[in-house]
Amino acid sequence: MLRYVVNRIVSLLPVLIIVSIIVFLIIHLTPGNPATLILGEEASPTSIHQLEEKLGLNQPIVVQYLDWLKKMVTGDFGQSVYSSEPVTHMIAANLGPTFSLMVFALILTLIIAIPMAVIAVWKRNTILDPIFISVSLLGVSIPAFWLAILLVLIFAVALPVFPVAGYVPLSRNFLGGLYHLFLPAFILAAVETGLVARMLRDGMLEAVNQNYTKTARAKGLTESTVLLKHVLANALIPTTTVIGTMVAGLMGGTVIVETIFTIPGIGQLLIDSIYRRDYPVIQGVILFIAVVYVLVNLIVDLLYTLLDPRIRYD
Amino acid sequence: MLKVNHLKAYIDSIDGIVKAVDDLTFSIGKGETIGIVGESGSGKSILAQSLIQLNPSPPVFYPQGEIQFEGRDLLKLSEKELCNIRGNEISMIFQDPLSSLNPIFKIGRQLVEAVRAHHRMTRRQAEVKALSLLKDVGISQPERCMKSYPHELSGGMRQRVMIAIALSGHPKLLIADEPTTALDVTIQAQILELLTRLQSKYGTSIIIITHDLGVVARLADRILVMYSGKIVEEGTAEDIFYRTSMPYTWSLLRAIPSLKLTLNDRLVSIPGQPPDLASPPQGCNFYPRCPFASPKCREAEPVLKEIGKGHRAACILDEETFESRKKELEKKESGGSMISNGQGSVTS
Amino acid sequence: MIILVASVTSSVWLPHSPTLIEPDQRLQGLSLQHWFGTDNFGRDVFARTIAAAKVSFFIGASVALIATVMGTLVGLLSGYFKKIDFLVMRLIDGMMAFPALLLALALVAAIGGNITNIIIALTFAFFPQMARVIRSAVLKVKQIQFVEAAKTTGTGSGTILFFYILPNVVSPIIVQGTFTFAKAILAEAALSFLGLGISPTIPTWGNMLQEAQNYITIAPWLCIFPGLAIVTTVLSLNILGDGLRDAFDPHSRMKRSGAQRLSNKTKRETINSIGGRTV
Repeated sequence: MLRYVVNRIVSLLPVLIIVSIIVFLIIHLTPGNPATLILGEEASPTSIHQLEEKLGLNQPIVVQYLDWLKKMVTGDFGQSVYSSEPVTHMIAANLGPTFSLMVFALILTLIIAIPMAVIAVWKRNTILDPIFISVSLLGVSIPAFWLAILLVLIFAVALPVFPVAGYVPLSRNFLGGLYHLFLPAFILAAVETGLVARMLRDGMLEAVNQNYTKTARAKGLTESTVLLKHVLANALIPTTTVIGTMVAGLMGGTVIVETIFTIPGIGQLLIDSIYRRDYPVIQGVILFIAVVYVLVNLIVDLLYTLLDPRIRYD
Repeated sequence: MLKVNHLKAYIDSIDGIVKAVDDLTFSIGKGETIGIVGESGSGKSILAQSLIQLNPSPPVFYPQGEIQFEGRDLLKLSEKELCNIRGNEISMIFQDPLSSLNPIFKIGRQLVEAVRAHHRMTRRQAEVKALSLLKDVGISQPERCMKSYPHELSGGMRQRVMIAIALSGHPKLLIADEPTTALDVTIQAQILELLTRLQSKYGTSIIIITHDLGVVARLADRILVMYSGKIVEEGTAEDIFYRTSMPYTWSLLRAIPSLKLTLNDRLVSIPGQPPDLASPPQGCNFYPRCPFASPKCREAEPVLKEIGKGHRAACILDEETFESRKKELEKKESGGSMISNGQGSVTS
Repeated sequence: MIILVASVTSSVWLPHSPTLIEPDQRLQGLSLQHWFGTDNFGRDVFARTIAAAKVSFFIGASVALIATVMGTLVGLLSGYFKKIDFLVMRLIDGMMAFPALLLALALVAAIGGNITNIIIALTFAFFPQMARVIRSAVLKVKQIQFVEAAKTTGTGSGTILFFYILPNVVSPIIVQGTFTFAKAILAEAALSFLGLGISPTIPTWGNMLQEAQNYITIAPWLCIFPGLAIVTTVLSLNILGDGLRDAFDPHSRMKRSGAQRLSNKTKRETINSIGGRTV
């Protein structure tokens, strides 16, 4: 098991190197001189030159990359050209809201998806199953931002129950914070639920037809015990692998939801930086997100091997 | 104790209605063992699962018949009442013990669950009971077994565990669906022995379903031969083996390899495939594959008729004609016309 | 389909020009004259929605096509030739380490947002998934006997790849391509909505929603129709993809219990192919 973990971690290295190259290249894909782009056309040649020095843009590209990589590895993500603040500080400052939002959304997704899948499988021979399929397909087809607009429309205009903007840190006021996060989290969850519930339903339908389910029924267990204990448990294991995909979806979704609901999170930071052409911040945020995503997938994989007793890597 | 009357179990499939079990009648008494024999696709597993309604429904449905068990018709029971019967009064074990045990739970948990399904007891008491059950089915290290996952056990051990689970409610009837098919030959014998021993200990009735005539010859008091959803012959082991009265049974017997075979003997496979149950042939279902078929066989389905005490067969041939035809065929085959049959193989 | 036909033929029958500004007709509600109402410049929302469909379809189809061709090529080569497989797959892993939408975002941020660049960015965001799916399909087909047989008789690698393996992985290609189409339309809308996509002067569903956001309380119809257009389009593509997958999958031909058998290996690919989703 330990060897498997070590192998798995070592195999991440090439992935991380490619990630870093892609992130590094972002700024160099830009047509024209990055320094001019940042400072604008009317900037003086001296200030452009100074910025080039500061960003190391006058070096050969491989040297630039290695310098940059060295800094990144030591945790130095550079400084914002807009506010001169260290990028790491900016990411840290914006992490809380995004993290709370994503965890909240993840929990909401599971709360909605599991019962949905169980009911769909329980009533699999009724009209509920095709309805379930349609709803889950609809779920993956609705753009998060449009759902957000609709909900804002409903809650801001017709039914002012939930706040449609603003953020209260959970550490200051937990319930108030959750209350503010509910709509954005619900939107993210609604978009993810279709995928998770569908995956879970397919897994459960597969398990329902397995022999061990027949054994469980032959023991005289009631249908609900069979479904909730034997079938669901078996279907949940492969479903853990969706969590990785889900996190990717949530990361994309938070960017949009944070802009709409003005939540000061990583996504908001990214979009603002793109508007400001603040490349060090863009690079930092993208790199940070990619690394987190890679780690999440690693954890999910390890979790999977822990949960399924049949898999042992010795 | 259990009486099946005119049971029909049909499957609603894309190709139409499949008559998997078609108008079956039989019964089993207390402590009795009956064997149900047939090729794969003869409907025997559907029949077994019909008895405690384990067939997924839909697509399986029961247009007709009753299953009388101690005065109740199992087909008319509610799901809740059925749960009280399953595992408690009637238990079942399946062909492949590996896939029949939940792969992600330890044996202990699955066994304790079975014990507690029908007896009010604490987890601790259930564990004690589980251990004694495991000892009962001949597992030497029951404590270790309880802590194992199914994939960590051998095939024979798994089937023992399945039997322990099935016995946990002290059932009156045990249905064993191909209990030894997935096992090595030496293990097969052990499992069959175990079943006999437990039967004499608990007085359980057993329905054993198999394609292997050898298995039922040893165990069963009575044998039902099934072909395409119907019983084509029924009788004691002697009736079936020595007073064979239905060409299908006779063909099955000829396909069994035996130690007495000499170099000159050949195993004879049954030509053709079992009929498509969605559109069975007219008249006798076995007609297209029957070595003794005559145009008359096509006209009407033969009824199961009594030909000896407790011996029934469904064939229009009477005993004498059947015997003479058999001899004729055997003579012809040994007479050298080998081309028609060639090298026969075993049909399961 | 209907949206596609409607948008292609639109210039012939549309009563209003999508870009015609009618200042006296600003923010009008639904009427017979303006079916979906008008926006803040007095432009006809119905006409704009239909016109936007053209842009969305063009982008979606281009991305689906290019990503499919690239993904298929990479998947075929990497699945077939062990030597390049390791390198290519690490590259693909690296690209898939970014959530697709964010990769597209970063690329658009770097190269700027016009139609060509959006197509490039989205292609890069989506083709790695495609390549993975095709690769695993190729790996499966490779083990089937007829491929081995062809090898032993000395058939060339190219012939084997294109005449033996490719025809056998067509179904995942088509299914995945359909989902990519749906994903691309969603992603393009999201980028435009964030103001990072196509210039706001060109009507796209995302751009329309972006503008509409500011008038949400006074002119809700501005938000509703472009969104509905996205949902219907993407939903139809997803239903199509789902149907195609079922049609190609021999396991799901059981009449009532359509449970699909997933092996552990194909799991990740399956996850990716349940619905086209990015946002």
